[in-house]
Amino acid sequence: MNYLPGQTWSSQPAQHHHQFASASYNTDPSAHTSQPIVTGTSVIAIRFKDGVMMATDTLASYGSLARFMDIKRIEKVGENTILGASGDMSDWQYVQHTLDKLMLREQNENDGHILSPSQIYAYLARVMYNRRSKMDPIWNSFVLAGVDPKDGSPFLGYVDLLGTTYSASTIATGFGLHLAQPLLRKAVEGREDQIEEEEAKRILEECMKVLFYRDARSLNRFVIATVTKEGSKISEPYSVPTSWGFAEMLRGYGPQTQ
Amino acid sequence: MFRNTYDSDNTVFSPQGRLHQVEYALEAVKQGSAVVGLRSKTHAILVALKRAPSELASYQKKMLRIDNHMGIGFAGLTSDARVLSNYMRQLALSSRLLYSRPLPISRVVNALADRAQLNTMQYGKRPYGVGFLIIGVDSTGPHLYEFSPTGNCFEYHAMSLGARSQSAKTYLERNYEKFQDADLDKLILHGLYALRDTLQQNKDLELDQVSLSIVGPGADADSNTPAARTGEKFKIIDGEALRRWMDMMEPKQIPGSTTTAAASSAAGANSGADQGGEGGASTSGEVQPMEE
Amino acid sequence: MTSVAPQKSKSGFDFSNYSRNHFLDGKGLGGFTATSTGTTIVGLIYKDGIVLGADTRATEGPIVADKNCEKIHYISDNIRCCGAGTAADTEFVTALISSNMQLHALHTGRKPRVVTAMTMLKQRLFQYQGHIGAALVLGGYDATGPQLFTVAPHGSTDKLPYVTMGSGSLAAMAVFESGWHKDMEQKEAVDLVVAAISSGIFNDLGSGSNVDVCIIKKDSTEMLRNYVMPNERAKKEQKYGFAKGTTRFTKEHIYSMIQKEDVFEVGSTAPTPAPLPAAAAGAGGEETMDTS
Repeated sequence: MNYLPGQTWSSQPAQHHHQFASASYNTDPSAHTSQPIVTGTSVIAIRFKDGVMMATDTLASYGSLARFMDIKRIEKVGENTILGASGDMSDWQYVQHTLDKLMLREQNENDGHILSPSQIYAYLARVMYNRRSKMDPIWNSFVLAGVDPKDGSPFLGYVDLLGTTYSASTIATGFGLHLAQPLLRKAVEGREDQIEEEEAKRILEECMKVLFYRDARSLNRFVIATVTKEGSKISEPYSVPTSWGFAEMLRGYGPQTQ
Repeated sequence: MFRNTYDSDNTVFSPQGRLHQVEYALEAVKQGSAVVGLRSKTHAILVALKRAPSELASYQKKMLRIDNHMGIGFAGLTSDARVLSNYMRQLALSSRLLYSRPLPISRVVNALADRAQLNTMQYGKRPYGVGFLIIGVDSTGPHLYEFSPTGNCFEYHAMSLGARSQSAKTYLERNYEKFQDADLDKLILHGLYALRDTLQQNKDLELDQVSLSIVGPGADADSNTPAARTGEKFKIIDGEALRRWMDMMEPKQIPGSTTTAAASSAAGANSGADQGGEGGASTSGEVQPMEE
Repeated sequence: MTSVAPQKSKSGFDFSNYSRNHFLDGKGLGGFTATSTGTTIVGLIYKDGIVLGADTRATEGPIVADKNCEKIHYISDNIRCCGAGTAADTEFVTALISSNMQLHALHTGRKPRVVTAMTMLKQRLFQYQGHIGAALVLGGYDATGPQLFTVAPHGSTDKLPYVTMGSGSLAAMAVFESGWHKDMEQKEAVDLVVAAISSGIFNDLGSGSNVDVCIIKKDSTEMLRNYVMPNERAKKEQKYGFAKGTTRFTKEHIYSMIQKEDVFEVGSTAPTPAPLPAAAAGAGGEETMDTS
């Protein structure tokens, strides 16, 4: 009997089949998440003068089908923290339940202690790493943002399905890594403490527009969430104007002129 | 004694509604030597009297560090103290690992209480025979809690446990209003005076006998931040380092003795030495008979 | 197994390893991939013509092979081509098409057109079914106006007002999508190209070093090699050489390695050598060359 996954006493053990995101090659009777099914695309976030700001679109794709167009991929965790999720949506819902339970227990203690954003982040990072160590990952990339109410210090962190964590003044996941991160870095790095809320909003809107142009799994309907010392708020979904007539004068793909 | 019929099983109430086994456990705490705890606006401290089991042995430790921001002094069964302090340490470290947060004192105290209460309710188990005074600093400031074998935990401005602790309590009750705004040195002196009151009439505090622990602001800083270096983390002070505060103490008034001035001249050139052999000048606790 | 004399391939490609690779692939040991340069190349159309841009890093896997290579290749005086992908492929295919364009221009008696280069490139790349790993941004100003194309390794082309290719193409495209509009001024256009390439240089590991820019207008082409150098090596803070005498030596012996030295100048400014006596030449039977 195989006690460990993949354990075999066959005389030709290296029978690797090139599996690309299909059912996992697992000798156990139970299977673990090997590919995400309903997915959300990028999350982008920046730190600005008064706190932190985050944006995601409201789309959950089913492969290449734009299946659910009104999904909230940013949620509050307590009064001072927000969490944005990309990746598998069912795992995102599981994490929402888990963090809700955590915050509820904290509130029930009612002893003046609340979990600050960096502490919720530490907990989430532990959970993610633990699951990946069991080869059963929570298939998401999260961005956690908040402002510690005790000293007003902002926090912005990333944690993903491998348990990788990092903190910076600009964070992006998914396609946003390639398309939005360069723009965010140029606009924010070095001047975090001078950017006002209006400018921060414009920077994020610009990036959401670029993502809509170039990410084939995105939607021009998104939500912006802000956390400051006073608390957190998540906007209603809205769109930005886009222009598609940039190549009106061109015909064909080569020598054709009409 | 007339309590005998209802006191052999832990889980049996007496007709008066008391659990005698649990109350006997409290007696075990009173067998231990005195521990005194007090707290100001900024610091929380413990002072304790150490006992040596025999002439050949060293003094028994009375304090244990739980985490950078938390520690305990105990009175009673030392083995029980070890087991419970281990439990507290695990909880403290688990909080640092999971939440990157120093465990709030009220939480650890509640967990201790829950654990101890189990033993007062299950058949075949006995209550823990040790009492703790827990001091710590967390985001809501310095705290002092008492844990008793009954499973009750309360927060105090000042408290004492162990042998003859009532005398210390009397001192504390008279003076506790001064503690809030006292600076660290004054607070320690109050603690030492309270502890001295638990000694027999003709004895005074000796350097080797006393154990002091302090925790102050910044103790709960995250260990990988620069604030951690300047925080006043929980530390236990024994031996020579205590001389500083022992020397600051007023000499003990021993009833029926002559004036202190005569004693000083009799004792010789030792600064601050008095009838009590204070300041570590003598190693035995014996008082010089006042004879010219 | 009978041996077959290897046939010389007309195209210069040798496919004799095909069956071996296919066999290995079946066993799961294949997967040989061509190495690419890793690059950011861009092109855009502005009011007066075309601006092309490229970074200057050539990589061999994780190693930077060339810190300052030139990726904007010459096709003709009024046409340039940026190349991403396998460096050898881009260099050779652009050189070949450049050469053919010159012949074509002489044959037709007309100034070369961008669509001609584009057609030659795409037909050649399609013929090789993607095995030539060249992804190109082709731009120029000919009799029909400014033209900008991309040519992909498999032979497809796109005609667009702004394009990016290479591993840093997404970083550069993000800048273009935020900043491009019709009929930009030259300074605006060059600044946008520099911003896009810089975005690739700093956010993509396959791109780096300096920014090359090429401006192609109706009657002029300006090649701005190393237009911006954002990654200059910092000046060494001290002198790290060793002073003479640092290494002590016990013996010194100088060997003269030159036995005989004849200096013979060549070149257009060199003096003509004195002609050898004719008698000696004829008698010796040696052949002499005309040195006029």
